[in-house]
Amino acid sequence: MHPDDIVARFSSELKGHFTASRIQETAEGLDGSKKRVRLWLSIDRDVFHRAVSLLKEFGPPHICTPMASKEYGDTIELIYPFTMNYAAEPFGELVVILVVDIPRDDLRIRSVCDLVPGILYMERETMEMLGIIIEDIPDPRRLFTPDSLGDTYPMRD
Amino acid sequence: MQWLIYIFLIPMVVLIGGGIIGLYAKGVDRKFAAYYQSRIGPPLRQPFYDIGKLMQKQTIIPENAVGWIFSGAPFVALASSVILLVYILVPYFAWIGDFNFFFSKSGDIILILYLLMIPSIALVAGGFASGSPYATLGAQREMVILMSTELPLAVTAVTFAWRLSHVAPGASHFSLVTMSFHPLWSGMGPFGILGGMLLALSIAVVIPAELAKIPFDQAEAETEIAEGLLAEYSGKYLAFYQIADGVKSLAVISLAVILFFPNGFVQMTGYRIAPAGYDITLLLDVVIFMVKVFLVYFVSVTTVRIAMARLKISQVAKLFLVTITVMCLAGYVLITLDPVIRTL
Amino acid sequence: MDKTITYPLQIGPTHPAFKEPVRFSFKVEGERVAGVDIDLGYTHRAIEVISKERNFIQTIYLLERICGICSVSHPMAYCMAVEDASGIEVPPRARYIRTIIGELERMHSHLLWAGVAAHEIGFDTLFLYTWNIREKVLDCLEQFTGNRVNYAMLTIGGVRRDLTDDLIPVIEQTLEYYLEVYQRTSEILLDDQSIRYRCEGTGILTYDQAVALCAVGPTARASGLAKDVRVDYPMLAYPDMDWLKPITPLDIGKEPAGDVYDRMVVRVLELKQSVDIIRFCLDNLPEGPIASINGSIKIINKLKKVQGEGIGRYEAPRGEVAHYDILDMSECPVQMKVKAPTYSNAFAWVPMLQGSEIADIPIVIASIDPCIACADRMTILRDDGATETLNAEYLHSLSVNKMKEVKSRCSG
Repeated sequence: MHPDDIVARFSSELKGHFTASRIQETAEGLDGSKKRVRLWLSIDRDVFHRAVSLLKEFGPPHICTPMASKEYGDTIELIYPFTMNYAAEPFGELVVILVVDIPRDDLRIRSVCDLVPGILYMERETMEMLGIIIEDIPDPRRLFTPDSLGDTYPMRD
Repeated sequence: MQWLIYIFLIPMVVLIGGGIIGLYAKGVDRKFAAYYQSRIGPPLRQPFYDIGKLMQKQTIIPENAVGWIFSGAPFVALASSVILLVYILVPYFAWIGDFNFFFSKSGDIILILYLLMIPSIALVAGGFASGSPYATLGAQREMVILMSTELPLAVTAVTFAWRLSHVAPGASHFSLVTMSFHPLWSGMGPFGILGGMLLALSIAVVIPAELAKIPFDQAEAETEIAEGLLAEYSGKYLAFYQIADGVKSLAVISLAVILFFPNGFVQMTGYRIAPAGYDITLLLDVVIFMVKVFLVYFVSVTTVRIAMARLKISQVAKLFLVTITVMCLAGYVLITLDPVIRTL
Repeated sequence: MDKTITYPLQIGPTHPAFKEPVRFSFKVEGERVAGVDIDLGYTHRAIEVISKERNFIQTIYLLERICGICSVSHPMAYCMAVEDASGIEVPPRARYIRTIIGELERMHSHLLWAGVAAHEIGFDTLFLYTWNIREKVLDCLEQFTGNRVNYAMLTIGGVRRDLTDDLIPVIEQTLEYYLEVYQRTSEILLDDQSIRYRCEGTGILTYDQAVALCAVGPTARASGLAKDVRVDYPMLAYPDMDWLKPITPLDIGKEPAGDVYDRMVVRVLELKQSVDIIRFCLDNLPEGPIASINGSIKIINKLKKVQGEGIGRYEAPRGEVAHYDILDMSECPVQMKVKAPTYSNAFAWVPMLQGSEIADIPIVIASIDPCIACADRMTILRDDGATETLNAEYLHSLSVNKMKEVKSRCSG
C-alpha cells in the first residue's frame, strides 16, 4: 500500500472536500533502508464518515491514539490518528492522520463506530474532554470523568 | 451420674485440645507451603495470633443480614466440629487404651457422615444470611461441593460396613471402633488391596474439598469472590469460624487415619511399654497418631494446594460426581470380589 | 423451564482480584455472565492536563509515572513523538541502548504478568516462582540505571546514561540465567494440567473481533492478528533485525484460538525473543555519542522554536503505546494525547467475558495484562456539592472521628 494510492483515491472520490495532504518519510535503521511513513490528510467535516469508509477499503484501520485537538479562533481541529497496513509486511505500517475542522458554534461530528468499533472509547473521551458531540454514538455515557463535572471540558484551552 | 461428667467434660477437653492441635496443624501447613514457595513463612503460632487479633476487633453485622442466622452460624459450626471430633477420637482412643466407658460403644460412621455436613451447612446458612452477593455465590458453590463429595463418602462407608459384615459377623458393622479393630489391609488379596488403595486415593481427594483448600476452595476463592462465604464476617465470628476450621480439619484427617491406618503401637508390635510399672503405651499411641495425622495432612492437603490452581465449580462437580465416584465404586467392587476370587 | 433469572453482580472498584481500581457491572445467570459493563476513571490523575504546565524535560519524568511497570514505554513514545515533530536525530548508540532497556522491561513485565495470572487462578507457588526469578532482571536494571522501576534513562534526542563496558557482562549474565530457567518456566506455564484446565477455551477473542476492536499487543497476537509495532513500524534498533517476527501461537504449532492460554503462550515465547533481541543489540552496539543535544536547557531552547506535530509509537509489554504531541513555540507541549495498551484492549473485555463463568472473570480480566492507571490519565477534582461525591475533607473527618473512637476505647 503506497500513501500516494490513498491520496489519489481521496482526491478522486472526495473532490473539493479534500483540502490538503502531506507525506512525511523518515529513514530508519543503521543503513537507512527502512522508511517510517506518516500521511496527514485534511478533510471537511461533512465527508468524514465517507473518508473513513474509503480508508477501510485499503484494509481495517486501527485507531492509534485518542483524538487530539488544536483550537483556532472559530474552529477546533480534531485529529484522528489511524494506522493502516499492520500485520502485513515487515516495517510496512502506514500512519494515516485525518484532520477535521469543526466550527466552534456547531461542535458536532459523525461517529465512525460502525466502521471502526474499537474507536468507541476514544469518541466517548472526546465527548467529555472536548465537549464535541459525536452523532450516532452507540453509547453516549461518560468514560473517565464523573457526572458531577457538568459542562466543564478539561482538554479545552 | 458419671455419664453426665463425661458428656460435659470430654467435649470441653476435646474443644481445647482439638482447637490447639488443629490450629498448630494449620501453622505447620503454612510453614511447609512457605518452604515450597521459597518463602520464610509465618511462625507456627500465627493462627493463634490471628485468632487473638480477631477477638479484639469490632464485630460487624451487615445491615441487610438476617441477624440471628448470621451470628448463630459460627457457633453451630464450632459446636458441630467439636462433637464430630469427640465421636471420631474418643472411642478410638478408648479402644486403643483398652478403656471401657460411656463413649466406647459410640461412633457410628453414618452419624459421622451427617455430622461432617453440619459445619458446612452452618457456613452456607451464614453465607446466605449475610446478604452479600459474594457470600451468596460462595454459599451456592459450597452447596455444590457438599453434594458432590457426599457420594464418594457414602460409597466408602458402605464398602467398609460390607467388609465388616463379611469379616466379623456379629459385630456392629457401622461402628468406627469395629473398623479400627479390623484394618482394611489385613487378610486381603491383591484385588482387595487394589480396591483399598482406590478408596484411599478418593478419600485423599475428598479431604481438601471438605477442608476448602486449593484446588477446591471455590466457596472462599479470594481472587474471584473475595473470600465468598466469609466475605461479611469479621471479629469474633470470624475467629470462631477459624477455630471451627482447625477442629474440623483435625477431625476429617483423623477420620481418614482411623479408617485406613488405625493400628496403634500394640497392634503393630504386640508389646506394651511399661517402664517402672507405668504403662505409657497410650501416650506413645497418641504421638504415633499425631504423626500419622500430620503426614496425611501434609500429603493430601499441603502438597496438593501448593502444586495446583483452583478449579472451576463445574469442573469440581464433574470430578467428584464422575471420576471420584467411579473410582470409589471400582474400589467397592474389587473389595467385594476379593473373597470370592480367593476361594476360587 | 428456559426462563432464567439474571441478577446484578458488582466487581470492583476495589476487589482482591484487581491490583488497581476499575468497576465491572455484570449481569449473571447462575454462574454464567450474560452482560458486562465497564466503568473506568477511578485512578484519573490528569496527566495530560498537567503536562501542559510542565516543560518538555519535566514531562518525561511525569510520563514515567503513568505506570510503574511500563515506566520506559511511555517516555519512549513521548520522546519519539517530540523528536518526530522537531526533527531531532537520535544517535545509533542511543537507539540501541533504548532498545535494550525496553526489552529488559518487557521481560520483567511478562514475568510479573505470569505471577499475577497464577495468583488469580489460585496457583500461589507459581506466582512466587515467577516473581522470584523476576528479581534477577530487576537487579540487572538497578545496576544498569540505578532504579528498579522509573529508570529515568531517556531524554529527548538520546539517553542519559551510557552502557559502559563493565555493565555488558552483567546483562549477559542475566540473559544466561533466563535461558537456563526458560525451559522450566515454560514447562510450568504451558504444560501444567491445572493451568490448562483453567485457561484453555476461556475468554475467547476471535481474529475478527481483535481487528474490529483495535486490540493490540499479546492480546491481538494470541488471536492470530500478528500486529507488533516493533515489526510493523520502523523505530529504534528493530529495523536492523531482519529475523524479527511477531510471535503468535503458530510458533509452537498451535492454531490461534484467542483464549487465555494463547495469551500465555505469546508472553512466554516473547521472553525468549527479548533475550535474543538484547543479545543482538549487545553484539552490534554501535560506537558514538549517546545524545544529540547535551543538556536540558539546550533541548528546551531548541524545542521552543518548533511548531509541529508528531506521533511516537512503541510496543510496550502490554501492546502498542502511542503518543501524539503538538508543539507550538512554547516550552511545554501544547497538547499531548496518550494511548496506553489497556485503553485499546479494555473494550475487548466485553466479548471475552460474555458467556464466561464467574470463576473465569479474574483470569480473563488479568489476561490482557491490564494497567488501569495507564488507561486513566485525567480527572478534575471538583466538589460541586453533589450528594454522591465524597470529598477529601469528609473522608478525612471520618478518619479523625474513627481514630478518636478507637483512642477512647483503648484508654477507657
